[in-house]
Parts: sequence; structure tokens; C-alpha cells
Amino acid sequence: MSQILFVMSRSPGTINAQEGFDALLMGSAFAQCSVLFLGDGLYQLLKEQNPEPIGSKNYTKGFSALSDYGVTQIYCSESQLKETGIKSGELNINVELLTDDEINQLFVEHQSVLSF
Amino acid sequence: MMLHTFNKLSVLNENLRFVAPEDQVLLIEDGVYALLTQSPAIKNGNLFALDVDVQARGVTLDASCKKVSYDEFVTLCVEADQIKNWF
Repeated sequence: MSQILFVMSRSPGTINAQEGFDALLMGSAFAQCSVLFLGDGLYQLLKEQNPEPIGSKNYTKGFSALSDYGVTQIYCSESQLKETGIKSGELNINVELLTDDEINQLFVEHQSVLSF
Repeated sequence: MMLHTFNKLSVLNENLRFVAPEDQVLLIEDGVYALLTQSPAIKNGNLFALDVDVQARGVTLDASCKKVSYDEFVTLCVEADQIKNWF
């Protein structure tokens, strides 16, 4: 089975972030998918998001359904998470924290890397 | 061995931490401005910059960075085990 790594590195208000999530759900129907949150993408993981007053839908609520789609490998950068100031209690899903070297290894282990 | 492309200096600075020492780094578009800085990327032994983007921006290359054409860009992509385009 092909293995695809989805890399989310844009903040939740961007079209990249939402399209990336849609692509991940679609991809999970055909391939073994993992997801890695980096940089501004880490802000997608914040629990208390209510973007309705600014006219957007909170698609991040869908993250909790990822396990139903068979997406259980969910990772983020430990060093970058620390830099954002986000605490583990503020995350909306369980993510595995990876070191910089482990993230490099994650790229190497996957057949394809898709960046959003 | 992986190939990483970077198209902006800010993107390079934020993500260089995920580049292994044996990986190749290719600077494209505004990423070539890294050559003007003391970016740690300059110390990577496998540093490349896209010739047309360097020329377009008037950046000077030193010996540590190899200039590549579009054809050589394709060769780098084909030869790498994995590619990550940072943008």
C-alpha cells in the first residue's frame, strides 16, 4: 500500500490548510496516510477555535474524525510547538511530538510527501 | 539522501532544522537571497542555487554554492530518494 505524508504548514485561516485537510480525507480512502504539522500549521491544532464571526467554517473540528478514516499517525514538530507557546492541554487531538531528526527520517520513510 | 528546495529566506530559516547534513539544499526564487546572509544553509556541503533565479536577482555566488540549470534541477530531483519543497 502506498504511503503518503501530508505536511500541514499553513495557519488554519488559509485555503491551503482547509484544502490540505480535504485532500488528507480523500487520500485516506486510497492510501496509508500520515500527517505532520509544522510551522504555522501547528495553530490548526488549537482546541478553542471559533472562526464563524470572521466568516469561516471551523473545519478543524473534523480532526477528531481522522481515526475513523484510518489516519492514526499524526505528528508535529516538538521544537516548533515549543516556539509557538502552545501547551499540550490546548491541542484538539493527540499528536506525537517528533524531534528535528525524526522529522527528517519521516520524510525519507514515506513514498510521497504532499505539502499544504 | 533527500533534496530540499526553499523559495524564501524565511521558509529556509524556519525549516533548515529538518535538513540532515547529507541532504541536498536547492535555493530557488527568493530563496537565493540566503546567499547574501550568514545563513547556516551556506555551510551545507550540498548547496545549489537555480542559475536563472540568481541572475534575475543579481546575487553573487561564492564557491560553496553550485549553480544549476533547469535541466540540472530535474537531474537533482530524479536522483534524490525523496524531495521536499518548502514554500
